[in-house]
Amino acid sequence: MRLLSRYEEIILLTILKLEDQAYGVSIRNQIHADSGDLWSFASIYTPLEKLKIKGYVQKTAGPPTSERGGKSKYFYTVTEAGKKALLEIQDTHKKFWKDVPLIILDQEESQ
Amino acid sequence: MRKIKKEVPRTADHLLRVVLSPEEYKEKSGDLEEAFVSVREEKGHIRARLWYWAQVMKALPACLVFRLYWSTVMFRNHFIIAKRNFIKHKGYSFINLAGLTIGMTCFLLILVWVQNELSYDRFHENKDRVFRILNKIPNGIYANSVTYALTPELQEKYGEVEETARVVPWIQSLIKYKDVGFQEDGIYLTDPGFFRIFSFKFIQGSPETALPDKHSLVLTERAAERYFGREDPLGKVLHLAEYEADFKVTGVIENIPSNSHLQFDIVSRVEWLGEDRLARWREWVAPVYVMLHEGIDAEAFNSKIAGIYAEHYTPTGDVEPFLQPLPKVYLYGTYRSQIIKKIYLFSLIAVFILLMACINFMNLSTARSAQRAREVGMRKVIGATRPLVVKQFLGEAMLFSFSSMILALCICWLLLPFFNNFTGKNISLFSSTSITALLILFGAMVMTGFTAGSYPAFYLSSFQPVHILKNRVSKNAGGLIFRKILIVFQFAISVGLILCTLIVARQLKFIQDMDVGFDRDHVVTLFNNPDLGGHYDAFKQALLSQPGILYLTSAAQQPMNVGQMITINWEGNPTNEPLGIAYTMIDYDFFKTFDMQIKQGRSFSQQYPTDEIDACILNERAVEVMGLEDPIGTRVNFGHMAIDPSLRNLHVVGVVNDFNYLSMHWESGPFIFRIYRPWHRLVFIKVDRLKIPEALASIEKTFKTYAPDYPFRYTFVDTVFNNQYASESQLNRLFNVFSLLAIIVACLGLFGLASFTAERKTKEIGIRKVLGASTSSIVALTIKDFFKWIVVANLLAWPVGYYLMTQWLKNFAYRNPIEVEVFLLTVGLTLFIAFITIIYQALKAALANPVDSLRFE
Repeated sequence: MRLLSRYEEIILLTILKLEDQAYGVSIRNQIHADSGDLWSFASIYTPLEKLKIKGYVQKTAGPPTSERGGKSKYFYTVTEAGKKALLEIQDTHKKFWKDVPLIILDQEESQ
Repeated sequence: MRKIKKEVPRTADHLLRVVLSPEEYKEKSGDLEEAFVSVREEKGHIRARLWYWAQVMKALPACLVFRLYWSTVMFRNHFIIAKRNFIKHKGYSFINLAGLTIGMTCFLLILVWVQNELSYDRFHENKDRVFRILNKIPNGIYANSVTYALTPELQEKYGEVEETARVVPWIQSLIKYKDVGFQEDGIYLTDPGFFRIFSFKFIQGSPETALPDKHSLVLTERAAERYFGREDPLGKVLHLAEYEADFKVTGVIENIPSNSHLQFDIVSRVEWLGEDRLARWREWVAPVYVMLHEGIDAEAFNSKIAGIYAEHYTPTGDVEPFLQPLPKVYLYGTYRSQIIKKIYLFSLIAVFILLMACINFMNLSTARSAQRAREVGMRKVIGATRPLVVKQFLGEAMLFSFSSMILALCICWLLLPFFNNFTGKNISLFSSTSITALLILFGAMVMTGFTAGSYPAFYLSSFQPVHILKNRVSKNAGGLIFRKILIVFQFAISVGLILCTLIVARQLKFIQDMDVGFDRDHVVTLFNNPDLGGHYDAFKQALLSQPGILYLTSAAQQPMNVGQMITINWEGNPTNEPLGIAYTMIDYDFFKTFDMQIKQGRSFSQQYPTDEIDACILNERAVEVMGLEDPIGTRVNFGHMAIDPSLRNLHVVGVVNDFNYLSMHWESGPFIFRIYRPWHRLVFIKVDRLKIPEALASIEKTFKTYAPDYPFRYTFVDTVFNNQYASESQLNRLFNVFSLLAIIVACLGLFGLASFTAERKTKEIGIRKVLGASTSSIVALTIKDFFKWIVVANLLAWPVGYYLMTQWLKNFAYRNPIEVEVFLLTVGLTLFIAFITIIYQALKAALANPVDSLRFE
């Protein structure tokens, strides 16, 4: 199975964190809050679209809202397959980190 | 709510709407707007707008790639489906493609030809202010030869005129350079202004320095190469036998483009005609061209000079000069048999054939579409939107018409050499004049694809999938009527074309077989020349003693192509009003050579030495028009200005039968013959039809003895006669080809429809057979249905064809009337063709085992 990209991983995690309030703007804001980087919308939508095609997220339309010029919000939720993929990538991360010499880690930490 | 909406940059928002699907757009623009509001609160309006733009631009590439990806996926799917459909229904598909390809090929060929015709003389820079002067004679007749005294007058007295050029296009001469000599036909005599009016490109020399005096020449590249090879032609000296003078080459121009009505190789000065002819007001010499200053209203100028002849002589016979714009010179000629009419006619045929092909295409596509209803149902169930289905069907039709266009282009490219041969043109598919044709074809391709695809696309996509899948859609009963109307229309066009072809062919046959009043068979004609003319009598005697030579004479013109007229007056003319009469100069034995009958009096004869000075012969029509009781001996004043006054008083010595001295387009009128040897340009020799090769050999030998410098060239008079109808026989051949193609296209349509109906009626036929119907009765049943429509098509096409052909026949003075048998033949022919087309399908349906057909579906 192909691994998730870092962007996809971040987005999936953010969606999970936001529970049922994950849509374009909120995802972007959450990532901003967590990482300090303000992503462009394009860099959110592109991985989102890929996740959708892979079947890791599901999109549902919410009710139209006045603050958005009468347009619906589209909420994203992580599917079971998405969750599985997240666990898998976490597992892979662990495996990779395990064999890295401790010296590097020490240096990193001491800085 | 409104407020927010307004403040988002509109263009950027619109961009999003374009690249995204509606649902995507709703989501993304919603997100962006929400974020936009917060950015604006933080950073102000302008910064927020910039931000919005930046976001959209960043998103754009990804959106486009994504969109492209999906449309290729769908396109590939549609393409595969189209391919499968093509293979599954090979027969239909082939008919469909072939019909459309034939239609497009015809259309393209005709269009390329039309474009080429329309491009004549358009390459001249000043084409909009260059005019040919015609002489307008009462009764709507125009003559292209005008008075040469006109041009100095126009130049001097009329400020509107910038430049004039007299052009004498009929000079032939032997031309020699050192020891090479050629007989040249394309010699023009003109004024130096010629090259300022017309933009023929100079390779050497310039319009300013060309033709400074009487002894100068301008050559085309082609002619220069003929004489000088690779030598520099400028300043070289050529000898023209016609004028027995030397000429210096003062310029070389590029070869004349084929789409120029002026076609020449060599140009010299018009002064060679002699001062008298140039200064005479009453003689119509040859064409004249004028260039007006910019901004001059040609019509106003035309009416200003309308009375110019009357200022110089009376009576003018109501002749007026008429300015014909240069681009119209080729297309309209002297308004007799106009090329422009042919262009309209063939454009019409082109459009008809393409229309037929398109109708076919639509017909078959629609007929087949019913079978694809289920596919549409499936697609819709799986989630295809209506636009997607529309797109699929339109795309499929487009694909078809596009392939047809490519095929048609290839076929055209292959056919053009033959087509050029056929029409005597030099057209290439990828030249500047053909660009328009190609663009029109492309437009036609898109239109065809769209119209053919639109019915199935919009009709089928409108069905509810549930209904389709439950087979509840009535199998377009309305569509059948629609298709039948189209088929009738299509057949009506074919019928019309067949009718026209038959009538044109009959008329041409009629002309060919008509008695023209003289016998043109086995008469050899050659060009006279000074050497031969000087020893004419000796030459004649020498030849007559040879085997196979029957008679020999000479004359100024071919007897069936006499265009000139003069006015004569005669003793005892009751009104004293001069009579316009056609004339030519002939020698002794002319009537014997052409087997014409002397009705009264005698022919010219060497027994009467004064015949060369004062004798003339009239035709019967002239006697009738002049009202002469006893024509023999009547004194006639032959008022030709170019002839010595002492030779103008003639008396009638004989009357000859009427004959057709113009083309069949014109009724023959009064005619007068006289002898005037200086003008006898042609020699005619009647040969024994059993000894033609010997006769030709002895003619050549004798010719070479008397005129060794001149190349020996001969033609038969009947060939010349047939060439006179070249444009008609070309029309005939083209009609044949195009009506054949039209019939093929129509038959393909009929075949397709017949097989479709047969298939749909499989069950009906099966039941009929089970109930005891015989094979023949079933075949009759199928065919009867189609015959009904073909008869209707005939009835529709007849009046139109009849009307068009009556108009065409009006071009001829002698017409073969349109008879009922032509119509009967047409209907018979169409029924026969239709029968052949349908019988296969009908038989197949009728012979099928009813058990199989009842299990069908």
